[in-house]
Amino acid sequence: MAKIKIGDTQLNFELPGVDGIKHNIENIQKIKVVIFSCNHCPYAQAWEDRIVNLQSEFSKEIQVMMISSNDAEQFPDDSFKEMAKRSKEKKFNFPYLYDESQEIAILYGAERTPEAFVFDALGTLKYHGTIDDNYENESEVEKSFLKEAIKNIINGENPSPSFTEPVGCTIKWKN
Amino acid sequence: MNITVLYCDDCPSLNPSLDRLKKVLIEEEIEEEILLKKVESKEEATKLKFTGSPTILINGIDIDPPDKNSYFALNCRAFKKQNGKISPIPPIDMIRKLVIQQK
Repeated sequence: MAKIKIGDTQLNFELPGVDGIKHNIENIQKIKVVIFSCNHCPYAQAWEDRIVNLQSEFSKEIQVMMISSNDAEQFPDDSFKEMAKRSKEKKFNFPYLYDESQEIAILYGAERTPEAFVFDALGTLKYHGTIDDNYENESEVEKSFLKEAIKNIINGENPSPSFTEPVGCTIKWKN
Repeated sequence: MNITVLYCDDCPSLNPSLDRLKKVLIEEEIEEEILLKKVESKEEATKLKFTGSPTILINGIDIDPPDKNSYFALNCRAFKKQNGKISPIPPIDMIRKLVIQQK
């Protein structure tokens, strides 16, 4: 269960990215879209192009930070090396960060991949949940929850809904 | 016809996949029951050659045979649709194709 609720202040972290840089959320002045994700989960795969498109569409206002916390020993497709490959293949336009100790996933209480936490520029949690209502077919999406939440926040409004149930595989915890 | 679905605990794809499987069985007028088997450990995954959840077997044959690079683990299955996109639940046509073949 999430350890942060709507209205709470962002939980800070600094994590290594596949670009060789350590990324610190405190250095970002824009709207922060923290998404727990991974390589192997088919839900994460189904949504990743849409996340790239969101970063592209709202590049001035938001910064997506995608975090993989999965245990790479049990799930080798989620290794740092494979993360770097995926980022390159899918042309990720945001940092793809490795939470090897799983500390940040635990800090946030994240449970699924993908699972989004959106903080406004002041660091207040405004939206938590899933990307949209149709992982399987983008052309049949009726509710773009994350995109609408971002638009609301840009306009200084509170997203409604501010919470949707995250949909995806469970985060793969170390033994 | 033996119909078995192997799955992991807390798999969000299980129920939507079962819905699709049941739909195909009804449409193809197949009355056999579906055997559900939960895979609970890596050892069990290896024993069952389980590459991810859910795995649908018709007469022991996987509706989407995994490629040789797949490994056995309490993974999530990613099914490739005809348009090349990935889905966590098997396309209906994929299920139907094997059911008809095995009828």
